[in-house]
Amino acid sequence: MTTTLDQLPIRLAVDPDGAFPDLVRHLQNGVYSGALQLTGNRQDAEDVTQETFVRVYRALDGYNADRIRHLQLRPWVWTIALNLCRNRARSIARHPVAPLEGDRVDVLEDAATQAVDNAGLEEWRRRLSALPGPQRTAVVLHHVVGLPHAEIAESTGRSESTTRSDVRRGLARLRAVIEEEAR
Amino acid sequence: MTSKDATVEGLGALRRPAPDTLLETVLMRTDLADSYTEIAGPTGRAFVAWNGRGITAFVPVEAVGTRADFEMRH
Repeated sequence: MTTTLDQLPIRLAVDPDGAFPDLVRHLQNGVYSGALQLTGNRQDAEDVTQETFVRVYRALDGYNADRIRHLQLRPWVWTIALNLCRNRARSIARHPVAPLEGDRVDVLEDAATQAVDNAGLEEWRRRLSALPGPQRTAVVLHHVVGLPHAEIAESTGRSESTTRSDVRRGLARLRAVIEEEAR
Repeated sequence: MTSKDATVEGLGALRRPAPDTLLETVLMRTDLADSYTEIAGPTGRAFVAWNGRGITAFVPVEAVGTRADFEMRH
């Protein structure tokens, strides 16, 4: 990738089909990582990430060049991803799936390594599930995905000060959960 | 006692790469993934790339070398 994320809106405005793969390359790991924590399931995280970028592409197709040029790409993509994560969570609430146990197995990956990774992910999924939704989202977006507070605020529709509070309180709650586990 | 830093570190370690196939799947679903073939054109053999939106490249074979080179560049 030779185009930075900041430069991509200009390229997307001129050549959306040509620049779109770079947009995916820039953001797919962050979206997947966040979706993995917010859905608790690798398959759902992959589905959400795929669908996010398909919807991004379709939305770009309907925007004029000026609107694309002024897009704040990361928070805009995350607005779409969060909506999909919420829809998926509602669907799971109606039809529960055992987290990570139901994941498809990558036959090329060492089974023991994946089992250890699954156990670690499941441990953090349980901890994060103890947080109220807005705190969990804010903590995941800030500390897993790496979004600054301003971008989280834009993605969630909450003010920046509320977002900072969500992160702070979410971390405090997580610390309490972890300390309780250690007893 | 778990420090705040350990909690933040633990969260940071949750980052995972997206599946290798994700980009290709997205490009297929958006009709942006190219297919490739070699044809006998009016001026000689040529490599052609196309997707759901039409032909994206038409290059004489002698201009690019191997099919692998062509697919890599297009």
